[in-house]
Amino acid sequence: MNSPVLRRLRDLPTFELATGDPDPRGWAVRGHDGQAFGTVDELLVDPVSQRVLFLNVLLEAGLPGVPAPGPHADRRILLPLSQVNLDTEGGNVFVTALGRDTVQHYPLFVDFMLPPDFEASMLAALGMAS
Amino acid sequence: MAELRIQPKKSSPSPWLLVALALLVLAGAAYFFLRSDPADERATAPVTAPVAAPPDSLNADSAARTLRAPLAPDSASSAPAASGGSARAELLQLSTVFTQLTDRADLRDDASIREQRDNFTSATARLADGDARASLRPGLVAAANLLLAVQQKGYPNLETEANALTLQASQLSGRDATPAEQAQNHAYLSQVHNLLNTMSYPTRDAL
Repeated sequence: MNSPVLRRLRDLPTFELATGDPDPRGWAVRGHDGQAFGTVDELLVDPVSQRVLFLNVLLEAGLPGVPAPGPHADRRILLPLSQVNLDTEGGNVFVTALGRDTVQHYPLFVDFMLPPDFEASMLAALGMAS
Repeated sequence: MAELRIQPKKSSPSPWLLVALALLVLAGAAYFFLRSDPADERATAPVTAPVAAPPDSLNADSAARTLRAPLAPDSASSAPAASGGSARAELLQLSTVFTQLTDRADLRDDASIREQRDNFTSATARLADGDARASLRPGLVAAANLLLAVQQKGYPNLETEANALTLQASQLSGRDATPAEQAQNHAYLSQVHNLLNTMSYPTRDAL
């Protein structure tokens, strides 16, 4: 089975979120303790299956153990949509396998290119078998 | 476990197209609401005449001043002849005078006068539209009825004249073709002008 070709939703001007589905961009991402540690910045989608697969999350500055970004850079992670819960009323994304104190162990998303084993390492950090 | 789907965007009409449509609708609405009514234009033209009221009327109240100009005694008696026109033209000219009369402060609130004025307007509508086959009779009778209503409102001492005018109107044929009919119409319209002239004075001044 071939890996899906991921695209940012903003790079697909002919696509939009399905009617009735919430748009989580801008929502706070909260860990198991309810504390926010980032914000959903972008959605990575598979245009073929027409599904959102990952949330591109911009991490807050000053998280414990997370190295400071370089000048004019920021720290991002990808969260598989299948591993989060969406709070549509409060506008939050909950990911119980992470928290402000553990996000340092989660693989950072440093480029738009996804290494072959990147998804496996993400799932492993979330405690899920790949 | 969350799931979000995407879909191809639905084609929506261009926003400029919507703006153009909205402007079109607004322009259409403005045209219908703001266009000048041909009936208004006909009515406004003669109204300018009272502006040239004679200086001797400055001491009278404004309502009487407005009416007195076109109804000065000498002009009233010679009106049918001076116009040189038919009874039809005379009748149409009366419309302006009646409007001024019934807009007077002491008369305009009377329902009966309003009703008779509307009747006169309706009765002369075909004449105003230039319908050559329209009969004069409805307008002539309506004029008498309007003056009768004005008389009953404010001129009790003119009862005899108003009733005589009504009777005279009922005897008219409504045509203006033969010399006899023209003379009959002329006599009737002279009576109308005489009564109008008297009624152009405030109630308290009418004898």
